Amino acid sequence: MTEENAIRLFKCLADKSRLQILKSLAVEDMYVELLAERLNLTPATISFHLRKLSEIDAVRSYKTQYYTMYSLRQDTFAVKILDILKEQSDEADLQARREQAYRQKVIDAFFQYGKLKSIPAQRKKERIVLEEIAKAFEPGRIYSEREVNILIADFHDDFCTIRRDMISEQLMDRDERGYWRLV
Amino acid sequence: MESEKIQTFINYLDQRTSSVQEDTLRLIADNRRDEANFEKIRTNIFQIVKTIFQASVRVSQEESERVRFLDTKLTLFQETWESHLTEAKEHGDDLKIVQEQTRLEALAEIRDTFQKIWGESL
Repeated sequence: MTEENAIRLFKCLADKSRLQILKSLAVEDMYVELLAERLNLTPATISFHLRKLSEIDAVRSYKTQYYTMYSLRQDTFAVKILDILKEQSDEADLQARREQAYRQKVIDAFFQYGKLKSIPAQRKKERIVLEEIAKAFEPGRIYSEREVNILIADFHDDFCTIRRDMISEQLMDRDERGYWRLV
Repeated sequence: MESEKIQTFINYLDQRTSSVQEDTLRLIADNRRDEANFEKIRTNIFQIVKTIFQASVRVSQEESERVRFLDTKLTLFQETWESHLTEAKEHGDDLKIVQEQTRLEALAEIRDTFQKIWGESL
Protein backbone atom coordinates (compact mmCIF):
# COMPACT_ATOMS: atom_id res chain seq x y z
CA MET A 1 0.00 0.00 0.00
CA THR A 2 1.41 3.43 -0.91
CA GLU A 3 1.82 6.08 1.79
CA GLU A 4 -0.89 8.19 0.15
CA ASN A 5 -3.32 5.28 0.15
CA ALA A 6 -2.52 4.53 3.78
CA ILE A 7 -3.30 8.13 4.75
CA ARG A 8 -6.58 8.02 2.84
CA LEU A 9 -7.47 4.73 4.50
CA PHE A 10 -6.71 5.95 8.03
CA LYS A 11 -8.48 9.26 7.48
CA CYS A 12 -11.56 7.48 6.20
CA LEU A 13 -11.58 5.01 9.06
CA ALA A 14 -11.29 7.76 11.69
CA ASP A 15 -15.07 8.03 11.81
CA LYS A 16 -17.31 6.11 14.18
CA SER A 17 -20.19 5.65 11.74
CA ARG A 18 -17.90 4.27 9.04
CA LEU A 19 -16.31 1.89 11.55
CA GLN A 20 -19.79 0.76 12.59
CA ILE A 21 -20.67 0.11 8.94
CA LEU A 22 -17.49 -1.95 8.48
CA LYS A 23 -18.20 -3.89 11.68
CA SER A 24 -21.66 -4.71 10.39
CA LEU A 25 -20.28 -5.78 7.01
CA ALA A 26 -17.66 -7.93 8.75
CA VAL A 27 -20.57 -10.02 10.04
CA GLU A 28 -22.60 -10.21 6.83
CA ASP A 29 -23.17 -8.43 3.51
CA MET A 30 -25.89 -5.78 3.72
CA TYR A 31 -27.85 -3.26 1.67
CA VAL A 32 -28.19 0.47 2.36
CA GLU A 33 -31.64 0.45 3.98
CA LEU A 34 -30.73 -2.37 6.37
CA LEU A 35 -27.54 -0.58 7.46
CA ALA A 36 -29.55 2.63 7.88
CA GLU A 37 -32.03 0.87 10.14
CA ARG A 38 -29.35 -0.86 12.22
CA LEU A 39 -27.19 2.23 12.68
CA ASN A 40 -30.09 4.68 13.01
CA LEU A 41 -28.86 6.87 10.15
CA THR A 42 -30.66 7.98 7.00
CA PRO A 43 -30.13 5.90 3.82
CA ALA A 44 -28.57 8.97 2.18
CA THR A 45 -26.00 9.26 4.99
CA ILE A 46 -25.21 5.54 4.71
CA SER A 47 -24.76 5.91 0.92
CA PHE A 48 -22.41 8.83 1.54
CA HIS A 49 -20.29 6.77 3.96
CA LEU A 50 -20.31 3.74 1.64
CA ARG A 51 -19.11 5.93 -1.22
CA LYS A 52 -16.17 7.07 0.93
CA LEU A 53 -15.41 3.48 1.94
CA SER A 54 -15.56 2.39 -1.71
CA GLU A 55 -13.07 5.09 -2.65
CA ILE A 56 -10.46 3.52 -0.33
CA ASP A 57 -11.33 -0.01 -1.49
CA ALA A 58 -12.72 -0.90 1.94
CA VAL A 59 -16.03 -2.17 0.55
CA ARG A 60 -17.34 -3.50 -2.74
CA SER A 61 -20.88 -3.69 -4.04
CA TYR A 62 -22.75 -6.24 -6.11
CA LYS A 63 -26.28 -6.43 -7.40
CA THR A 64 -28.82 -9.05 -6.39
CA GLN A 65 -32.40 -9.38 -7.60
CA TYR A 66 -33.76 -6.62 -5.34
CA TYR A 67 -30.85 -4.83 -3.72
CA THR A 68 -27.34 -3.53 -4.20
CA MET A 69 -25.42 -5.42 -1.53
CA TYR A 70 -22.21 -4.21 0.12
CA SER A 71 -19.42 -6.42 1.40
CA LEU A 72 -16.14 -5.91 3.22
CA ARG A 73 -12.98 -6.09 1.13
CA GLN A 74 -10.91 -8.44 3.25
CA ASP A 75 -7.76 -7.87 1.13
CA THR A 76 -7.59 -4.17 2.08
CA PHE A 77 -7.60 -5.02 5.78
CA ALA A 78 -5.17 -7.90 5.44
CA VAL A 79 -2.27 -5.42 5.07
CA LYS A 80 -0.14 -5.16 8.24
CA ILE A 81 0.22 -1.67 9.71
CA LEU A 82 3.90 -2.45 10.38
CA ASP A 83 4.43 -3.06 6.65
CA ILE A 84 2.92 0.36 5.89
CA LEU A 85 5.26 2.01 8.41
CA LYS A 86 8.31 0.31 6.88
CA GLU A 87 7.59 1.69 3.39
CA GLN A 88 9.99 4.34 2.07
CA SER A 89 8.73 7.87 1.33
CA ASP A 90 10.07 9.43 -1.82
CA GLU A 91 10.14 13.25 -1.62
CA ALA A 92 9.86 13.77 -5.41
CA ASP A 93 6.92 11.42 -5.43
CA LEU A 94 5.35 13.29 -2.50
CA GLN A 95 5.83 16.61 -4.30
CA ALA A 96 4.09 15.24 -7.40
CA ARG A 97 1.23 13.95 -5.28
CA ARG A 98 0.86 17.33 -3.55
CA GLU A 99 0.73 19.01 -6.94
CA GLN A 100 -1.85 16.50 -8.14
CA ALA A 101 -3.92 17.04 -4.98
CA TYR A 102 -3.81 20.81 -5.55
CA ARG A 103 -4.90 20.38 -9.17
CA GLN A 104 -7.78 18.17 -8.10
CA LYS A 105 -8.83 20.72 -5.47
CA VAL A 106 -8.93 23.48 -8.09
CA ILE A 107 -10.85 21.26 -10.53
CA ASP A 108 -13.37 20.29 -7.83
CA ALA A 109 -13.83 23.94 -6.86
CA PHE A 110 -14.36 25.28 -10.37
CA PHE A 111 -16.17 22.43 -12.12
CA GLN A 112 -19.55 21.02 -11.20
CA TYR A 113 -20.89 18.01 -13.08
CA GLY A 114 -18.49 18.73 -15.94
CA LYS A 115 -19.42 22.44 -16.30
CA LEU A 116 -17.09 25.30 -15.45
CA LYS A 117 -18.77 27.42 -12.76
CA SER A 118 -16.57 30.50 -13.33
CA ILE A 119 -13.25 31.39 -14.92
CA PRO A 120 -10.63 31.61 -12.14
CA ALA A 121 -9.13 35.07 -11.62
CA GLN A 122 -5.81 33.63 -10.43
CA ARG A 123 -3.57 32.70 -13.37
CA LYS A 124 -2.25 29.48 -11.83
CA LYS A 125 -5.79 28.23 -11.24
CA GLU A 126 -6.97 29.36 -14.66
CA ARG A 127 -4.08 27.42 -16.24
CA ILE A 128 -5.25 24.24 -14.49
CA VAL A 129 -8.84 24.83 -15.61
CA LEU A 130 -7.73 25.48 -19.20
CA GLU A 131 -5.59 22.32 -19.19
CA GLU A 132 -8.66 20.39 -18.10
CA ILE A 133 -10.73 21.87 -20.94
CA ALA A 134 -7.89 21.21 -23.41
CA LYS A 135 -8.37 17.47 -22.77
CA ALA A 136 -11.60 17.72 -24.81
CA PHE A 137 -9.46 18.31 -27.92
CA GLU A 138 -7.86 15.36 -29.69
CA PRO A 139 -4.09 15.81 -30.08
CA GLY A 140 -3.04 16.21 -33.71
CA ARG A 141 -6.48 17.11 -35.03
CA ILE A 142 -7.18 20.51 -36.60
CA TYR A 143 -10.43 22.16 -35.53
CA SER A 144 -12.35 25.02 -37.14
CA GLU A 145 -13.10 28.02 -34.91
CA ARG A 146 -16.75 26.96 -34.80
CA GLU A 147 -15.81 23.46 -33.58
CA VAL A 148 -13.53 24.97 -30.92
CA ASN A 149 -16.34 27.26 -29.75
CA ILE A 150 -18.84 24.40 -29.56
CA LEU A 151 -16.46 22.21 -27.56
CA ILE A 152 -15.62 25.01 -25.12
CA ALA A 153 -19.29 26.02 -24.82
CA ASP A 154 -19.93 22.57 -23.32
CA PHE A 155 -17.92 23.83 -20.35
CA HIS A 156 -18.72 27.56 -20.21
CA ASP A 157 -20.71 30.15 -22.16
CA ASP A 158 -17.78 32.57 -22.47
CA PHE A 159 -16.01 30.48 -25.13
CA CYS A 160 -14.30 33.54 -26.68
CA THR A 161 -12.32 34.34 -23.53
CA ILE A 162 -11.43 30.71 -22.94
CA ARG A 163 -10.39 30.18 -26.57
CA ARG A 164 -8.15 33.26 -26.49
CA ASP A 165 -6.66 32.30 -23.10
CA MET A 166 -5.89 28.80 -24.35
CA ILE A 167 -3.86 30.36 -27.18
CA SER A 168 -2.05 32.77 -24.86
CA GLU A 169 -1.32 29.95 -22.39
CA GLN A 170 0.10 27.96 -25.33
CA LEU A 171 -2.27 25.09 -24.79
CA MET A 172 -3.52 25.58 -28.37
CA ASP A 173 -2.16 27.17 -31.51
CA ARG A 174 -3.79 28.42 -34.71
CA ASP A 175 -3.07 29.40 -38.31
CA GLU A 176 -5.17 29.77 -41.46
CA ARG A 177 -6.11 26.06 -41.36
CA GLY A 178 -7.62 26.26 -37.86
CA TYR A 179 -6.81 25.41 -34.24
CA TRP A 180 -4.96 22.47 -32.69
CA ARG A 181 -4.00 21.31 -29.25
CA LEU A 182 -0.34 21.76 -28.26
CA VAL A 183 -0.01 19.77 -25.01
CA MET B 1 -42.68 45.96 19.93
CA GLU B 2 -42.84 42.59 18.10
CA SER B 3 -46.04 40.56 18.22
CA GLU B 4 -46.33 37.41 20.28
CA LYS B 5 -46.37 35.28 17.11
CA ILE B 6 -43.15 36.84 15.83
CA GLN B 7 -41.51 36.32 19.20
CA THR B 8 -42.66 32.68 19.27
CA PHE B 9 -41.18 32.09 15.81
CA ILE B 10 -37.86 33.77 16.65
CA ASN B 11 -37.64 31.83 19.92
CA TYR B 12 -38.29 28.61 18.01
CA LEU B 13 -35.47 29.38 15.54
CA ASP B 14 -33.07 30.26 18.38
CA GLN B 15 -33.95 27.16 20.32
CA ARG B 16 -33.49 24.89 17.30
CA THR B 17 -30.18 26.57 16.44
CA SER B 18 -28.92 25.83 19.97
CA SER B 19 -30.16 22.25 20.00
CA VAL B 20 -28.65 21.46 16.58
CA GLN B 21 -25.37 23.07 17.69
CA GLU B 22 -25.40 20.75 20.70
CA ASP B 23 -26.01 17.78 18.39
CA THR B 24 -23.05 18.93 16.28
CA LEU B 25 -20.72 19.03 19.29
CA ARG B 26 -21.99 15.62 20.41
CA LEU B 27 -21.23 14.18 16.95
CA ILE B 28 -17.73 15.70 16.94
CA ALA B 29 -17.07 14.23 20.39
CA ASP B 30 -18.33 10.91 19.03
CA ASN B 31 -15.79 11.05 16.15
CA ARG B 32 -18.50 11.50 13.52
CA ARG B 33 -17.17 14.64 11.91
CA ASP B 34 -18.85 14.28 8.50
CA GLU B 35 -22.26 13.96 10.13
CA ALA B 36 -21.37 16.91 12.37
CA ASN B 37 -20.71 18.93 9.21
CA PHE B 38 -24.18 18.02 7.93
CA GLU B 39 -25.65 19.31 11.20
CA LYS B 40 -23.73 22.56 10.71
CA ILE B 41 -25.64 22.94 7.45
CA ARG B 42 -28.88 22.44 9.39
CA THR B 43 -27.87 25.10 11.94
CA ASN B 44 -27.08 27.43 9.11
CA ILE B 45 -30.62 27.13 7.71
CA PHE B 46 -32.23 28.13 11.03
CA GLN B 47 -29.84 31.09 11.24
CA ILE B 48 -30.48 32.17 7.64
CA VAL B 49 -34.24 32.09 8.12
CA LYS B 50 -33.94 34.16 11.30
CA THR B 51 -31.75 36.71 9.52
CA ILE B 52 -34.18 36.98 6.61
CA PHE B 53 -37.16 37.35 8.91
CA GLN B 54 -35.45 40.05 10.95
CA ALA B 55 -34.38 41.84 7.79
CA SER B 56 -37.96 41.71 6.45
CA VAL B 57 -38.73 44.68 8.68
CA ARG B 58 -36.99 46.74 5.99
CA VAL B 59 -39.60 45.53 3.51
CA SER B 60 -42.52 46.42 5.74
CA GLN B 61 -43.42 47.08 9.37
CA GLU B 62 -46.68 45.15 8.87
CA GLU B 63 -46.56 41.63 10.28
CA SER B 64 -48.70 40.20 7.48
CA GLU B 65 -46.32 41.67 4.85
CA ARG B 66 -43.29 40.29 6.67
CA VAL B 67 -44.88 36.85 6.90
CA ARG B 68 -45.70 36.85 3.18
CA PHE B 69 -42.15 38.01 2.40
CA LEU B 70 -40.68 35.11 4.38
CA ASP B 71 -43.15 32.65 2.87
CA THR B 72 -42.00 33.68 -0.62
CA LYS B 73 -38.36 33.25 0.35
CA LEU B 74 -38.98 29.83 1.88
CA THR B 75 -40.78 28.71 -1.29
CA LEU B 76 -37.86 29.94 -3.37
CA PHE B 77 -35.36 28.05 -1.17
CA GLN B 78 -37.42 24.89 -1.45
CA GLU B 79 -37.58 25.05 -5.24
CA THR B 80 -33.84 25.76 -5.51
CA TRP B 81 -32.78 22.98 -3.14
CA GLU B 82 -35.18 20.48 -4.67
CA SER B 83 -33.68 21.18 -8.06
CA HIS B 84 -30.15 20.81 -6.61
CA LEU B 85 -31.19 17.50 -5.05
CA THR B 86 -32.58 16.21 -8.35
CA GLU B 87 -29.37 17.23 -10.09
CA ALA B 88 -27.24 15.52 -7.40
CA LYS B 89 -29.30 12.32 -7.72
CA GLU B 90 -28.90 12.37 -11.50
CA HIS B 91 -25.12 12.54 -11.05
CA GLY B 92 -24.94 10.06 -8.14
CA ASP B 93 -23.32 12.78 -6.01
CA ASP B 94 -23.79 11.20 -2.56
CA LEU B 95 -22.28 14.10 -0.62
CA LYS B 96 -24.50 16.69 -2.29
CA ILE B 97 -27.56 14.44 -1.86
CA VAL B 98 -27.10 14.40 1.93
CA GLN B 99 -26.38 18.15 2.02
CA GLU B 100 -29.50 19.05 0.01
CA GLN B 101 -31.66 16.60 1.94
CA THR B 102 -30.46 18.15 5.20
CA ARG B 103 -31.35 21.63 3.94
CA LEU B 104 -34.78 20.45 2.82
CA GLU B 105 -35.44 18.65 6.13
CA ALA B 106 -34.62 21.80 8.10
CA LEU B 107 -36.75 23.86 5.76
CA ALA B 108 -39.72 21.48 6.06
CA GLU B 109 -39.49 21.69 9.84
CA ILE B 110 -39.37 25.49 9.73
CA ARG B 111 -42.31 25.66 7.30
CA ASP B 112 -44.31 23.37 9.56
CA THR B 113 -43.80 25.66 12.54
CA PHE B 114 -44.40 28.70 10.36
CA GLN B 115 -47.73 27.23 9.19
CA LYS B 116 -48.75 26.44 12.77
CA ILE B 117 -48.13 30.04 13.82
CA TRP B 118 -49.47 31.94 10.80
CA GLY B 119 -51.36 29.26 8.84
CA GLU B 120 -54.66 31.09 8.69
CA SER B 121 -53.10 34.31 7.45
CA LEU B 122 -51.12 32.77 4.56
